[in-house]
Amino acid sequence: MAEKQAAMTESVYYILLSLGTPNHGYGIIQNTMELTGGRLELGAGTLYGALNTLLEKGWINLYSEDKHSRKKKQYIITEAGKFALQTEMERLEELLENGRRMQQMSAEPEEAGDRNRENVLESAERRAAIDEKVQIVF
Amino acid sequence: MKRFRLYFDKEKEEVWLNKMSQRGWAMTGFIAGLYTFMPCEPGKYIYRVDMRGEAGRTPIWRNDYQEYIEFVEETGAEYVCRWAWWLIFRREAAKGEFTLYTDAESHIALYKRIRWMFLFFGMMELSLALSNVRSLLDFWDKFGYFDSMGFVLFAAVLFAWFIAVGFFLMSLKFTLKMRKLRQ
Repeated sequence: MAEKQAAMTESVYYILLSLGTPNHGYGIIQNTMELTGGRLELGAGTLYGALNTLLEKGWINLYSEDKHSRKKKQYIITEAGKFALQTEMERLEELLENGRRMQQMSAEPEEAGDRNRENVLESAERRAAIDEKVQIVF
Repeated sequence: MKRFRLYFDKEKEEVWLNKMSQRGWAMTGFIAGLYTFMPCEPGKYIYRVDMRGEAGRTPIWRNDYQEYIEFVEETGAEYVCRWAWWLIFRREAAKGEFTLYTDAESHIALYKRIRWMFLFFGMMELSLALSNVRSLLDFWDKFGYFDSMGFVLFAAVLFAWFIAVGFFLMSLKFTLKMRKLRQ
């Protein structure tokens, strides 16, 4: 069944971004800190819960689990996870684009109106294309 | 040093533990309301109280928190102790702000677990309190109101009601906290 993907939380977004290569819990926290210049420090409870949810969803997989050598669990993003991330990035891009366009419009009201109409059409087409992709995958 | 305290609200407990740490007392153990403290440099640790169980689903003394504990310890924190579903962690304040739940979603999930626990045990306590009232009435019928055993029974019934009402009030309190977070 094709359901539209809900907006991701910031935590989930950065977790997925950190798992392009195999990474463990603390590595994800550090990577997120680096990417956000120290703004977002994922709490251990938040991260643990999110990882389990993502495992259930099949967006990430366990990369290594060596039960004997007490090695830290590593995770990696799956194809479904990559797709979800891509979809989210497109959504975010749309948000930003629309925001910028609105700012421009209030700066130069007349000609921007036409451009906006064109863009609405264009983004509706893009939305339909994404929905189609979602249907194929799920 | 030992201190006896009973907390219904884990946030108040956290505030108290951190105040004790500010005063140079680091909490190291907990058994049924009895907290153990050891001297430390004032303000050395930040304490956090966590709750991981789901009432009715997780056995109360389930023992597979090891994975979670290791996960938290990986982030530079230290596991202090556990009481049923409650886990207490601390981290040196020098390592920076220490929080376990950093987004609204997971924080709300934590409050939901806590609220469900209070509701669950509130309902169990309520059914106990109701059946206690029945036996108290039976007792009064047979032995009158002034039998000394009757007083003990009466006190027990009052106590059960007190706990049941307290648990329901706490679940209400956590509902309000959740609402505040959602805004």
